[in-house]
Amino acid sequence: MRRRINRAGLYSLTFSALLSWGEVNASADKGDALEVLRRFDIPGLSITDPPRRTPQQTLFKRADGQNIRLGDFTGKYVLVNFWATWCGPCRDEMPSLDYLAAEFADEPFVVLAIASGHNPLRSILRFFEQTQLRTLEIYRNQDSTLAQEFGVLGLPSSILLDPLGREIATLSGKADWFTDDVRGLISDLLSDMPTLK
Amino acid sequence: MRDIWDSFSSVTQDSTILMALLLPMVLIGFSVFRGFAAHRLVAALLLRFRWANLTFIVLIAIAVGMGSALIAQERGLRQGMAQAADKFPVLVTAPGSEMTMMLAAVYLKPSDVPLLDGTVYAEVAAHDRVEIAAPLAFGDSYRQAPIVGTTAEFAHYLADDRVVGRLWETNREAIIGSSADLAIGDTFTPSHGVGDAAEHDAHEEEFRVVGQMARTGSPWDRAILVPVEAVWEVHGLANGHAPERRDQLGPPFDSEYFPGTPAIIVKGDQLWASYALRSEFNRDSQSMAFFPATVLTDLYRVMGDVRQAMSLMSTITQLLVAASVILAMFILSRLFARQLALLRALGAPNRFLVAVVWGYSAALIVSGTLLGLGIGLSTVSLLSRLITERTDVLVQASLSWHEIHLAAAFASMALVLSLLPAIAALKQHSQRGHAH
Repeated sequence: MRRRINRAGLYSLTFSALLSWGEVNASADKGDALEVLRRFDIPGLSITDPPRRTPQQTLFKRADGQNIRLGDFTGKYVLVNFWATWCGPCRDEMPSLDYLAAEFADEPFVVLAIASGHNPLRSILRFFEQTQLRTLEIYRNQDSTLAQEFGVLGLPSSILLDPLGREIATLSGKADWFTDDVRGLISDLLSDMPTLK
Repeated sequence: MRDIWDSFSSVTQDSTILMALLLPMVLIGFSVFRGFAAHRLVAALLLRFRWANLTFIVLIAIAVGMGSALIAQERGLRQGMAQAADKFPVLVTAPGSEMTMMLAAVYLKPSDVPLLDGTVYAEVAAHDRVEIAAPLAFGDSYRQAPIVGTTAEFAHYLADDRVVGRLWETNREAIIGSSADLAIGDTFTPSHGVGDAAEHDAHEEEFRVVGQMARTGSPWDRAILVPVEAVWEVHGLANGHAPERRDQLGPPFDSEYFPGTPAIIVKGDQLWASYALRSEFNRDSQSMAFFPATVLTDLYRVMGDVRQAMSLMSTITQLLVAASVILAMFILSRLFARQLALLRALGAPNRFLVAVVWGYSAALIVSGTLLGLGIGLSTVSLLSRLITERTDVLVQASLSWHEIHLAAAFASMALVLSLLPAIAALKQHSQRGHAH
């Protein structure tokens, strides 16, 4: 555990230093993450090759109303999951996302379950409580701008971002996010973090 | 001969058939009544047994009324459904059941249907021969009214340019069908889903009604139409346009940002173009194109047997009632025995006795048949209103020449058969006369 914390701290420190120095003028070694992704056969997962830029500055909100953007997670692998309270498949897969988030809570990996559209906060809270989601945080994007910019065509939609915030894989529809393959993939990605040039 | 017949107008043809059907009845009436004033005696008999007579008349009326109403109603529903599908020349959908897709898109019956992606839509919309290619997005509702996302162009086409108010100009404006439970200026928030399963607090977006379409005679009269972009946005998806053009409403859509549509309503610029489009977009794994009218025709073909069975059952019911009436005539003629014996004793000729008994039957059968047509007409009108309310398919059924011909054939045949009890009554008295 200590090793993990130390490694996570080191990555954050490195990226923070780079960000404070100026814009991220380095690019991740393209092959690394994609090669890791290709080693795993995760049903429905589509690799984005070459990695695609994503809307890093678009604002969305935490449950307390505080603004946040994807750019705030630079330096971590991010699994963005667009969902909605009325969407059955989204609700079905949420516990597995919660387990995944819990397993890698101390790593530079975060699951952002973003309720896209006008999902009432009371419905989200009720769902989180009923489903006993313990690790996932509540994020909302009521005007769906983030989903629109990502070109989300159906819910649930999940997009894996590399530490530079680039889209490296997508999965449309429901998935089991707590399988050995997915856990192995995230572990391998984390142990093979991109090198900066 | 056939050419001469075909050269007559349909009214002339139908009137001629009616006269031919009534001819046996008229001939019999003329033959038995000629030279006699039997009607007073017939009226006296009718009054004498008025409750029994009334029961017979009502029985005949119900048999004729129900039979003609069922046949007329089936025809009216068929015509109403065909009319409702008029505005949907070609449907392009994901491969699946044409019937399910047609019910979902044309008759707005909720269904879990697969979606077509933006690539297929772009291809259809860009086709040279396509005049209108409207995507549909449904699944939400307000109260019991379905909310359908589409384009302003399609709304205009559906209403034949007859829209009170105006079409939407923003993605939070809506137009309503003629029977929707809203008015111009009202606001509403969609529920996710339809019917009892709808989630009322899933969405919070408020729409304002800015226009109302003229009546189309289809389930779309109860629908609420909104920009298709709004439906996608409400569901937290891309809205069909790239982020830099996110405020655009209507085509062209960007296939990269097109969330999918269960159906595209396509109108070709020519009738023949519709055939070409159907053939072009009928692809095994990608899309399916069909004429809703053809699916309806296939449905009627399947239902044809049911229709014939219904017709047969109606005819059999009428025949059974006619047989019962004639049987009753045999029994009643025994009740008349004393009156007939008296007439005979007074020197009334045989034909006069036949005229009295046959006239009595004729009065019951003709009154029952006419009343039956009246009942049929009222039933058709009531059923049409009920079906229109339940299905939103405008059913304007009415009795036609077909039902009048059937009723005339029934009355004529029953009256021919009514000669039997009349002759039987005569023979009965002859035998008694001989015995005395």
